[in-house]
Amino acid sequence: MRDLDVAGPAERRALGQLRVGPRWALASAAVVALVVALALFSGLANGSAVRATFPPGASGGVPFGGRGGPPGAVFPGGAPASFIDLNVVAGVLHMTTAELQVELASGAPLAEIISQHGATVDQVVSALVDQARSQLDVQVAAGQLSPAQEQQLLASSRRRLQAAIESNRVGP
Amino acid sequence: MGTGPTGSRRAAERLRAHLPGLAEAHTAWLLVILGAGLAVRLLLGSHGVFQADAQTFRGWATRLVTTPLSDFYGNGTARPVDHLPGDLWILWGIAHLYRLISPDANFQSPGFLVLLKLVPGLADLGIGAVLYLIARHLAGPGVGLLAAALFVFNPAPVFVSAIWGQWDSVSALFMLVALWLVLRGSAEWALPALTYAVLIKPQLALLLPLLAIVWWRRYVQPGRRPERGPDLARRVRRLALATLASLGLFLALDLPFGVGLPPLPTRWTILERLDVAWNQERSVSANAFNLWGVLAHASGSRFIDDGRVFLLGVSYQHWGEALLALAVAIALVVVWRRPDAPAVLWATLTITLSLFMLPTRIHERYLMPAVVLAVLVAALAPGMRWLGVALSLTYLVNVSVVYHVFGRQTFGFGVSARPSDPVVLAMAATNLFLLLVVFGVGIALARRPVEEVDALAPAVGDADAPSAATAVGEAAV
Repeated sequence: MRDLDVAGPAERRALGQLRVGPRWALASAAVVALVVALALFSGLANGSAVRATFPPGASGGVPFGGRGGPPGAVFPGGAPASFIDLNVVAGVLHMTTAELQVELASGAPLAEIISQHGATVDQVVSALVDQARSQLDVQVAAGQLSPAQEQQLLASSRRRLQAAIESNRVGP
Repeated sequence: MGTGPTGSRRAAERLRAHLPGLAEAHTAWLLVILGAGLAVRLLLGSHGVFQADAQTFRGWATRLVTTPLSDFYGNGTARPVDHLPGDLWILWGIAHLYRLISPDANFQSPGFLVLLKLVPGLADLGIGAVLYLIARHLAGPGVGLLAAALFVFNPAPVFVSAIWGQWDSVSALFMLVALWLVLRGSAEWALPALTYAVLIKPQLALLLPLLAIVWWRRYVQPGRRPERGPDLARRVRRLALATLASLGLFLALDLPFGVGLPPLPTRWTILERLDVAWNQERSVSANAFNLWGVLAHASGSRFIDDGRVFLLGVSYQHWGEALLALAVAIALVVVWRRPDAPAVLWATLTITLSLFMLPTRIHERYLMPAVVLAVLVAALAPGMRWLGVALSLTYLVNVSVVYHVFGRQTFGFGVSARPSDPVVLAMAATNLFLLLVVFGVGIALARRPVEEVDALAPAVGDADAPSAATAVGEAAV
């Protein structure tokens, strides 16, 4: 039996086969450049796809993608967690995001926390919608969204946020 | 001239006499690397945390010590728990340990945060040690030390473990142990290690077909046709035992949480828990700078539901799944053609990198296993050093940007601005380039001339087994 701790010399030599051919690297770079160009200048990324997929009910606050985020920041009904930006909520409640997260983790529903801190659900929802509006304005200015679509999204967002918070569907 | 052979013999004897000392020196250096790595993590550990994730861990820790395990997945949290029991057991362990140390069990305390960060920190060191073993096995102790150091002091894993406080290195460690066992000729015993990794990160289950093919091509069909012999019978017995051990491990970890396999009468099946985990995120990318960072977010678009149609009437999600299936199939074909160490290393890297790059709903941190393997390949093959560096860099930028944006904390890696779309696009495009290049490496591996491949040594650690390389030579004829 060969020593288990040492591979054979041929196997060691074969490691040298792990290398990149320059032609393949160039071809890969060309493919990536093409994909990026297509994404930037076609409808894949900034055309109808985005307009069609901006989620109804989103209040914004997510610079890129979505995130599971802290316990309490999710609509169990399905909307991604990041649509309630806890930083905005914490700002309305005059507390830090970390403090808010601690309270959510302790088991209190968001509506109860809002009430305990002397605020109303309306105030929180308005702040979240305002934040969403500032982000959507950018998209409207860029021609990616029409003003009517923006209003529609904001109205839908307000309804869903209100319902989610009032029905205590946001909690730890 | 007559003194030549005698001189060589003497030199060889002298070398042999020094070998134990050399081995000890390498072990000492490894301990220095690991010790310094631990010190770095302890020092940085107090400089931040991703609050949202830490709060999730704290909430789960509270639940683990206050409710029966069988109720852990039950009602009581508005956001369903999206982890499988694998790392929950580790959390259970440190939560109980902390309660012993601090009877008030205040999981919000800094002391518990230290424990939370110690877990991935120690897993990092474990990865460093296993990288040393693999690289020593394949290329000698010096390269082993290089591999360990490249990972232990790599800023990206340090950031994820010590500052962010996430546990991605735990599953990566068990995946790496499985790879080590495969390379040592104990592919069967890789199965329990991989099972545990899958119970933490279920997507690593895509490595199971790779394991099956390596086992088959090394021990059952090293030539063009299946072979039967006493060695095969021994291998089959060992595989049966390892499969039973894996199943036992699976049930031992899952049943206390009320999770089982159908048709067991448990409260949940593992498929239901996977469904919960999988449906937590529905965006094309959960902040991973991957293919969808290029295709979907190039213009700075925000959330995109992956159920939406992308191209040709097919949704983003299904495009991602199809591309991933294709990538895994290519990796398996390459390993089928040559199940030797370089190909197995390449295929493991390819599958883990594809798992980050191609499917939708992927988090930024999920690049960790690919970074571990890229570092290993970088240490072993000088022609691949750039890959380890590049992937580590894009990973660091990805986790730093997300940490900054969502955690609202910076830690001086130069990411002081809000993430701009060019950053996302540049890093995602770089990762896409790296993925394509890695595929090029594999295709070149599979197309090596027969005579080169034919010269490879027998399957590692199993001198009795037929030569895998010879088998490849035969298969390629």
